[in-house]
Amino acid sequence: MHGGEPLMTVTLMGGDMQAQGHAQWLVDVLDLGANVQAAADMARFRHSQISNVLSLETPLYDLVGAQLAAMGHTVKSVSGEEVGGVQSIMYLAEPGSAAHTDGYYRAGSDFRKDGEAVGW
Amino acid sequence: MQREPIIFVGTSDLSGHFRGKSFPAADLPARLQRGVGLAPANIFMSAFGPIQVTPFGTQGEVFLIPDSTTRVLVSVRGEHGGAFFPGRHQDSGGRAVGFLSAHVLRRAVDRLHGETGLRVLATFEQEFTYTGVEAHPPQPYELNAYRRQGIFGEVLLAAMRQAGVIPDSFLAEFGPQQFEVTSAPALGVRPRMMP
Repeated sequence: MHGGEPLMTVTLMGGDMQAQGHAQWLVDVLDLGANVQAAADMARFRHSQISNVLSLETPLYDLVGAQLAAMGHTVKSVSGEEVGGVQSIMYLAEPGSAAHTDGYYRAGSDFRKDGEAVGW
Repeated sequence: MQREPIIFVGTSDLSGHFRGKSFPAADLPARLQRGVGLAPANIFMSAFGPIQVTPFGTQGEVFLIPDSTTRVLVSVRGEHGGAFFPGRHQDSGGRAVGFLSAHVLRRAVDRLHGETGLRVLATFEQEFTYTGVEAHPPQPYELNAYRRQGIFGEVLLAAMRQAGVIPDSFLAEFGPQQFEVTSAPALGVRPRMMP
């Protein structure tokens, strides 16, 4: 919500990945400036509390897996649905228009699962 | 056999365990004001139960104050299961205890709003294992699985509504004995859970 109006919605399925994935997705959008499709595409990680294993998607594993292992963490490389599946819609008002009277939608869907962003 | 009504007040930790203490129901008016004291050792109780060894020592008595708007009465199979209240922690000066999950969440949503102007309208789902129903091969979303759990779902939704949480849906999930309940969307953190 922004200014009392809906701005974007995001849902990420996948058991205990849900909270972890929502947090990573928000960092991608708010801190890194990704649009909602780019945020869906970006590599994610998942920590299992019981086994204390950190699963990183391959690009992340290649980037920091060795360093994390050297620090004593148990890490493994994963891909696909293990890091959940996300869908998102963002509403953007037309520049200069009154809020929520003129605008357009952006959408993103996860390549890791069925579904795609479609508009008409 | 004589029984005395007692009331439990608790709070959820980061692992989802609901911990606290009970007291005689007759003491409720006073407990709503001053709460129940929690021994300093509780600060170092891990999410999994054991008390951790810490270099910081045991200090900082905290109090758990029942939230008067969240009284829940539960009865299962005709047996009165007692009343409980979700509560909030505060120190002896009435200040919030900053490392507790509700306060961490409040700080996070406040910071998000402060830095971006965004507010979070969120719904929550809780997936859990209900051991009161016989194990059965997965029947996700099936009416059969829903009916086999009996009245548990009705009791659960009633408890949520008594505590001020609006139920949205209840369903059988993918695992054996696994169910899920969702709450309706709500903005941020309930003010009454804060000191």
